[in-house]
Amino acid sequence: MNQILLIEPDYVLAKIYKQALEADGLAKVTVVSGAQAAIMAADEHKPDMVIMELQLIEHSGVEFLYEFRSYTEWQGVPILIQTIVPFGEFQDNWHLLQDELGVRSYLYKPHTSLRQLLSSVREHSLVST
Amino acid sequence: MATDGYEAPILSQQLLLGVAEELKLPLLQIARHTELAQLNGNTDLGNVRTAAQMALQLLDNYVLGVRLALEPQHFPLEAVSVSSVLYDTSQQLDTFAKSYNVDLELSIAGKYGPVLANRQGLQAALVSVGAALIEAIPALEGPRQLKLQLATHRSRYGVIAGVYADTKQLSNEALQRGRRLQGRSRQPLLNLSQSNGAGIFVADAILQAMDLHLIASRHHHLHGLGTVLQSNYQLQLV
Amino acid sequence: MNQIQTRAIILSRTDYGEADRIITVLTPEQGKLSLMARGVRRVKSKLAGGIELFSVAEISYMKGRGQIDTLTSARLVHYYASIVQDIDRVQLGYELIKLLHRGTEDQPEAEYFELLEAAFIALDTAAITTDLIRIWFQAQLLRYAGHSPNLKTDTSGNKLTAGQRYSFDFETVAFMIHPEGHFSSDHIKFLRLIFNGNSPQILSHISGLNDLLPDCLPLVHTMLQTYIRI
Repeated sequence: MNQILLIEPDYVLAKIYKQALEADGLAKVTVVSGAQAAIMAADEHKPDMVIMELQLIEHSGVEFLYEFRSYTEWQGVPILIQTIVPFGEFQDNWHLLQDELGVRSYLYKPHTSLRQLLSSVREHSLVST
Repeated sequence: MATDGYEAPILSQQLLLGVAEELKLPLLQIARHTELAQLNGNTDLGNVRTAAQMALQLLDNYVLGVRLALEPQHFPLEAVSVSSVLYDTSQQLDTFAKSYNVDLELSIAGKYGPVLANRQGLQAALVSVGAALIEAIPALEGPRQLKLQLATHRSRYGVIAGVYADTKQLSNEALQRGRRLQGRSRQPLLNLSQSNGAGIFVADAILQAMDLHLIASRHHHLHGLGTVLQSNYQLQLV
Repeated sequence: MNQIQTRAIILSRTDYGEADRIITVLTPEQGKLSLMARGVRRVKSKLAGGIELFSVAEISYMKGRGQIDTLTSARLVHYYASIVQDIDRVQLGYELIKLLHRGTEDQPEAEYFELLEAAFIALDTAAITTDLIRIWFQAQLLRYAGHSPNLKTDTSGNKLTAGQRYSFDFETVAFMIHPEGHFSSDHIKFLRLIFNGNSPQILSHISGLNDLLPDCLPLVHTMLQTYIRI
């Protein structure tokens, strides 16, 4: 089963995504709301995948990405960005996110249904489901 | 009202943009709640109702702010009971707070006398700040049970009515910086909110339209945002 | 032997030592008492059955030299068994006991004993909803403490009238006219019935009760928190 680290600052959305991901045993989800908590949770839970919002309190998601990737044990962990920030605002930096930071997918929340999220998780999962 | 080139903050395009952006969140919650309900057969749509209510609230508060700026004559000042406004504010925010696992408390004991304000505007501003903080503090403070207190107390400047939490202080400097960044940054209040803080800026603009000010404030050991009101015992004779 | 007999309702129980308990009881004449109940945690204790929560007991106690007197006998007078079968009612029972304990000094008047007993009777009656019991109980605590709201005139001194909408001013403890206020004359009539000391049994027959409770309950709760600080 996937261990997923979900970085989602909105309490209500976090509950919804966690429920959807944990249904049918697809994954075990740890939810955190911020970048610092995410690093600590990654240490504790050793995620197989990270799904993250870019717009966080106190730190930006990109800061977290750099920090996360700086640890050798986490360099191969698939990362899906699921964010309220439209892709157009990151379009110029997509190659950076993709090539340097290993982001597998950019999901714009208003356009990403739960089914699409689950499908994306299955597609990029290290653990077979 | 635009006079001498001054545009009331509530009328700015940046704030309108901010409100539009902020509306994405409750609409997203509604979309995903209903999808989840379809997936797992859960028919309880209370959460959908709550999210819809808050979206409507944000719009209502914004529209009120615009009307206050454009037609101030329709929003006269009156003798207002602060405790009554805070009570009504808590009732409006109650269900929303529960959906975010936030306990709402009222601290309104004491005698402050009536204050001069427009009740509708004051309540809209407090609801707006309250909603913004309810959304923000679970992200700030993590998974523990959180409290938000609606409180009033006397300061040397007047009676302060505000919304407070057991969290880091938002300074007046940070608030001022946020005002400058509003519309130019995705997160003008980066240390307070993951969103663009539209709720706080709508409250700010509503209060400004009433010649009041949103300030960073303390209530006992809690930090938050409030506004200073002038009590006037002569109002009791009116 | 200086033994005193009285009716009592248990407010709380705390384990003490290996087999003892310290119980706090509410009595009609002596107010709140802390009593040492020796050996009640042993299986064969004769006292154990008499000191359950949600019961009224006839107890005897002996005055000791120190702060705590000793329970010498306890006979159950009435055990409100239905309460413990319903989780919501049990929760409310605990809540009301706690409210009364916190909201009263050591020597409360006999009316507090009667209030708690009446609360147990109401909790034991399935037809009376927990919300109604809750608002009624909170209102009586306010009333006994002298914090009844003004339900006759508004903040300007005018009679409260039908057809008006009101908000509540917590400073003057009265209603004030407000076009978008949550409270109508129906709410105020309901509050008058509660604050006049009518029993939950009588109140449960009010028509439209379910429409009035959602607005009145938080109001009375806030009054309790504001004026009695519990």
